[in-house]
Amino acid sequence: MSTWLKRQGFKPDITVAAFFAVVAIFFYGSILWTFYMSLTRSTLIPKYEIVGFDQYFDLFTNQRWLVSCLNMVIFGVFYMVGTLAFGTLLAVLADRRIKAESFFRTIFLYPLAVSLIITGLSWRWLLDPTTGLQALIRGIGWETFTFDWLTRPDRAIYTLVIAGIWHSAGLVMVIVLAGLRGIDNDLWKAIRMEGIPLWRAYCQVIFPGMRPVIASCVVLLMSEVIRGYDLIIAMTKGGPGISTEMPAKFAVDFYFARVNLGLASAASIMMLALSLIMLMPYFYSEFRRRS
Amino acid sequence: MTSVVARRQPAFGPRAARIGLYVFLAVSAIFFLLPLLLVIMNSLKPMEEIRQGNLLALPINPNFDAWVSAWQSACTGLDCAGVRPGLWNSIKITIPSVVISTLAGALNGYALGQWKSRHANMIMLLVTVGLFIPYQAMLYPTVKILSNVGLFRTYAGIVFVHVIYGLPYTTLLFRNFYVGIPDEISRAARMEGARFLRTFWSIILPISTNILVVVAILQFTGIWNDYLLGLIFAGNDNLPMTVQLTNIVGNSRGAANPNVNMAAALITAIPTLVVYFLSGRYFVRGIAAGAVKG
Amino acid sequence: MRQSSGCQVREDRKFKINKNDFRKGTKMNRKCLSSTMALVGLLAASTAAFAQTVDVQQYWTSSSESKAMNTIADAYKARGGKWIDSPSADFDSTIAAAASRIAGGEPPSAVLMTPSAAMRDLASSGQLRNFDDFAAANGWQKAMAPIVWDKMNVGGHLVGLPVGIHADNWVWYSKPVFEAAGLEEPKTLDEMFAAADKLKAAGHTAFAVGGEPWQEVTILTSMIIALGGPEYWNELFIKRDPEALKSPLLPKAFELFRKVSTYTDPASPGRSWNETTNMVVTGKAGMQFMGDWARGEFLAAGQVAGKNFGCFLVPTDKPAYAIVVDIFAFPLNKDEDRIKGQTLLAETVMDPAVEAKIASVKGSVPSRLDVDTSTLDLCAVKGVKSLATPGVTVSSTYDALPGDLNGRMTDLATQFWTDPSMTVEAGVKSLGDILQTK
Repeated sequence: MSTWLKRQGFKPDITVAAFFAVVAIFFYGSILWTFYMSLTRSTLIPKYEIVGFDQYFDLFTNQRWLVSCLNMVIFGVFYMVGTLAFGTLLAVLADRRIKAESFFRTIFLYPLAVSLIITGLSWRWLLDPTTGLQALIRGIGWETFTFDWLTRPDRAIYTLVIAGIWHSAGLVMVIVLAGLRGIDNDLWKAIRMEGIPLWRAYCQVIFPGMRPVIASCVVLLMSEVIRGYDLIIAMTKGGPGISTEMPAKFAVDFYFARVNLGLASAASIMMLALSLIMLMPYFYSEFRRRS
Repeated sequence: MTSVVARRQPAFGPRAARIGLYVFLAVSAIFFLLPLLLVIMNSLKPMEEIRQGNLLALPINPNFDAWVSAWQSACTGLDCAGVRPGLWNSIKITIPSVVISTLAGALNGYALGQWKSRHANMIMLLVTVGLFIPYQAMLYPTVKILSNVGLFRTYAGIVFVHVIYGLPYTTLLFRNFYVGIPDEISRAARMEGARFLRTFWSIILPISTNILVVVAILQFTGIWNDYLLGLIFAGNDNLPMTVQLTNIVGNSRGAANPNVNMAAALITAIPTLVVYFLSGRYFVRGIAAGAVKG
Repeated sequence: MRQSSGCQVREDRKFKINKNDFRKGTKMNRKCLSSTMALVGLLAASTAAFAQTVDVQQYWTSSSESKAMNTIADAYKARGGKWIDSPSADFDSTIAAAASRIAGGEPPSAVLMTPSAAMRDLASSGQLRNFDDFAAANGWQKAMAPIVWDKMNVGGHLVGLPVGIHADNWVWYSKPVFEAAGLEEPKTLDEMFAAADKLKAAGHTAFAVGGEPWQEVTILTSMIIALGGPEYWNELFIKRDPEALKSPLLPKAFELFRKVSTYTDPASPGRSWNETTNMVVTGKAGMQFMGDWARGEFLAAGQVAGKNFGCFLVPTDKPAYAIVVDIFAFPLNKDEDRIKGQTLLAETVMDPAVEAKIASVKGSVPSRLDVDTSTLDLCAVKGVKSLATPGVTVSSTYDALPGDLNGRMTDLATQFWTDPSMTVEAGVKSLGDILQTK
């Protein structure tokens, strides 16, 4: 594989090997152990007696688990598309010649500094129909104004999307901005000389060149979706009813408080499988491009 | 950089479009600021005003009582000393964790990004999977490993856990940044006989300011705001501030004091906010301005 | 050591300061002295052979809870023990921390919890210390209501010690609101709903409900216990007798549960229980179904039981009292001083004087029957009486159901509550499925 590398006296092998060993021990050790546990009837304390795939049957007959998966898809699609679009737009704007750039950039970035727990709580306060925004707007005279999505089972999930975008748009903005700032000036010169309209320049030249950077964003956001827990806990606690339950919360609930390590492990394994499926297109394109 | 930008064509030509642009930016700014304003306003209200029920009403008698309480007298367990006791622990956990995980991620990301091989891709794929394992699934195995090497509930242990859990994240960001860098840079260095580490340290790192800042602040936020890992791995002498914060904000059976909750939340967020404000200026310089020929 | 040398420097400097600074100087000095003493005390505690240390994993972090925990800690320290506090925000994270510490070989020496599936699980895997000898020597069994005793015994061994008792089938109401509507404290379910109708007509939220799953399920179980009484309750939830599932009581309970939901306000979903209690405190709402920890909220607002607010167990002709017990469990420890610390904490917690103090601070009912209850208020006294009446007290589902069944029932209750299209039959059937799982 690496005659080229050896010729260059370039030895990343050792670094990568050492690093990979650590990841293998912790992450893959955990995955194996979790898979093992998912085959047992472990409660709070691990039990090592294998009973087979019972936990998986339990999982897929559990109404809350099924609703959780569906919710994750709905939330995931809206949150990722919204965050990517909004964040990229902000990055492009911040990279253009606008007044008070650092002022706006700071404002767009600061939510990242706020933990998801606090994000959830403040949005909950803000969207609470009796004390928040709705009450305020009604108070200043628009008596019929209604924004009660937080308390509606069919809409509550979109309030999570709003809070999620609020929190993560800055992440996308800085990553894309870092990428944009790395674009070679010659490229811009060429674009200007060709007289290509700005929006086409971005869509057809700049963004395709930044594909790995954008891929970082996609993967990070996807990880937020799969592991998303804090935001839900702080904002809706899965309610009203089970309308905003998600898989990570399901797993966490069952791990400890509901003393069902076996079922929680099965849920974790399914989450992992689900994320692998979602990642497939990304890796497929990476492999094809690089090999 | 400014001159480079200035030389570009006018960003948005027509006057109307420019006004539209600023309207959009202003509306976005309001969207981003609204929750912060809400939290600040309510942290300045006494409880009687909170009980009135309108959280968006301006404080009538603003004062810092809730802040004082959150800082030094709110109950967090047996002690009622606010979030103060955990401040130093948070700092001493966060700084080494961020530095180590960022540099290790840069090194690995560079190695994986520049290593033209199928294996590199495969490894990146396997590492990325680490981003999708729920923390809770990793708790028992991590506890077992750490207690076997005597690091469970120690200072070194919690830093180690943060570094390990952060590695997939930082590696991915750096790797995807470095694959976009022209090969000529490191090839040129290697021509001159520089070794891998040397190339990395003296050529690659200096042109990575932007991504370094991005990764470092993301790691800073993540580690600073962590609760569960700190609770389990840090041990009683090193509990971070978030444990106290969560004990104030998250207790479910006691009397609710939203003003103190909000003040505590703000106090804990101050260091991250400061980091963001300070790091902002590093975004203006990029590799385009620095290393690659202009 | 560094600390004391720092003090030395300051003391030296004291000789140079003038008269005006004298007061400042002594103040400094005293502070210095106390910190030195604390340091010496710390050293003594960690080196002395008779040291007794307890490391308590707990979740009482609000101000009233903190006071209650301090009551225990102070009494414990007064007996010469050293207390290491390991607080976290809620039951979930406490269990997570305790379980991982046990797995990592550094168990806490006491865990605040409930005699629930988690405790039974720890006990049956041999992780908890038993206190059989102490119980026998001190006559603890006789001091407790039989049901409390039973809950803390696993496989014939006493593995938990009670700190206080709460019950969750209470209803709290606003006296002024009831008086304004010309209402009396309801004696039957019909009267309660009639009162609710009147309150609704008068523009009040009749039932303040916080729309969180655990709050909702409490209403369902309250209806079941009101309709069925203790005997039926035990058949349904303790024996989990399939026959009990066929009772016409269950559909009726689900119907009433849904009926309550029609009296709530639109902002109910996700509201915390204490914000909800506050609606009753301020007279926006008439009644609330909630455990007796709610009393703390009324007291915090300066209200008095029987004057500003009232309380009754969900009305029924078969009185019942569904208890949730706060306990300490003691994971096995190896160090001698930590084992001694556990013993000392056990003695402290079981001291009737300490129990009385906890109850008055936290709003719970003492778990020993021989505790002086003269300082407790109207509502607490009702609880004490129920506990002492044979056959009235039952175990709440939270404590009683094995494994994750209570969690699953909670999921069901919240679905039924929020989804009006779910039929009563479907609700009863799901409950049956849950209770029949092994």
